[in-house]
Amino acid sequence: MEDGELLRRIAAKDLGAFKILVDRFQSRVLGLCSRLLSHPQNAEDVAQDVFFQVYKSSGTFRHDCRISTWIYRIAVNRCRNFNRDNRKFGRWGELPRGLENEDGSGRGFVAPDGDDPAAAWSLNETRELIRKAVASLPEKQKAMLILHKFEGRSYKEIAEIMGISVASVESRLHRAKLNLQEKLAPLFPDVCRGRKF
Amino acid sequence: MLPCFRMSVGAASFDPNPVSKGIEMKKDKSGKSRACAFIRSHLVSIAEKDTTGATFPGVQDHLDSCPECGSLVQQFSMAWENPAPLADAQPSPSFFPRLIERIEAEEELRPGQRGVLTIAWRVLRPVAAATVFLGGILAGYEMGKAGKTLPALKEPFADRLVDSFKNIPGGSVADFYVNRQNSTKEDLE
Repeated sequence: MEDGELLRRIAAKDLGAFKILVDRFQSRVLGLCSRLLSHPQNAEDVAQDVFFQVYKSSGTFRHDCRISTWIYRIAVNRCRNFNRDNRKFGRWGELPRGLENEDGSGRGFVAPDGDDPAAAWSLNETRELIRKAVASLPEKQKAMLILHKFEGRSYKEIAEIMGISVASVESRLHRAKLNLQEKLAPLFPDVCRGRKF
Repeated sequence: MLPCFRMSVGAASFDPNPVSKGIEMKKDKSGKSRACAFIRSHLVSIAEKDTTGATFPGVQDHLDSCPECGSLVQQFSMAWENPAPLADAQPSPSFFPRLIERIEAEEELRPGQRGVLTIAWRVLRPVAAATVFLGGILAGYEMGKAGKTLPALKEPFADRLVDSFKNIPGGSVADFYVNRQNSTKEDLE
């Protein structure tokens, strides 16, 4: 069943159709929320808010963009609101280093595998540094970078999700990457400082 | 010994196409590596460009000659191109049942209470505000026409305030503060 047809049925209070829609998008929405939220352990609650909003607003969707874009837009807005409301509790990126989350579960990380565990751990640490640097970016830059880099959304889709022009997406993404570079530089050990040849 | 160079551009003004700006690697007088610092502060740009081609000739030369930077860029590029997959992107089994519970709770409220009350509140709120506003204007106009004024207070506020100081119970906290204030005033005089 197509997304548009699903949404029409949901607007008619068809919970079976809603279940299909949730099954189709839940992992993507949850993944996006996990990356966008300052407190990823709340991703499931925010994802539930997203689907609740989808259910409530299914009748008002104008079908002027893809359903996935619309759901992503709701998710991004919800995450931004959540981060804004919970800013007083500190940013996730400022937590002590380590691969555990606040609950110590290590949720969200993949254990190293392969022939060289040390190299895999090192790669995971680098990923962790990148993730922390991204988490410390301003909300809009963070959302844009995550949508483009980690979620693989095109400039056009990001423009629709964020409600801005494609040119703005390009320039803001460029700014986000420059900003990220500045934040990343001090995170990596200065292995070569003072090295003489 | 491997040669080490420094780049002649600032970290903040990195250009994705350094050839066009004539960026070149020069030997540092002290022999220390500034190119390494440059590499570290441009990891994203370097990871996103083809460092093996002609786009970054200076950078690639340095990466070939500096094993630390080469390793760092290689590792960063791998992490950048393959960000950590979320191992737990599936929600808990109670995700959908809880969602349905929430929707059903909303639906129960909607027809009887929430629907009617919400609509009534939305309609009546501006009506009530407009009524109060227009009523005030009309009352003021009528009073002005009849030459009436607002009833004056029997006793001016300042007088009542001064009187209230006379009735402060002795030994109370207020009494203590008033006495202290008076003694300070007398000392000054």
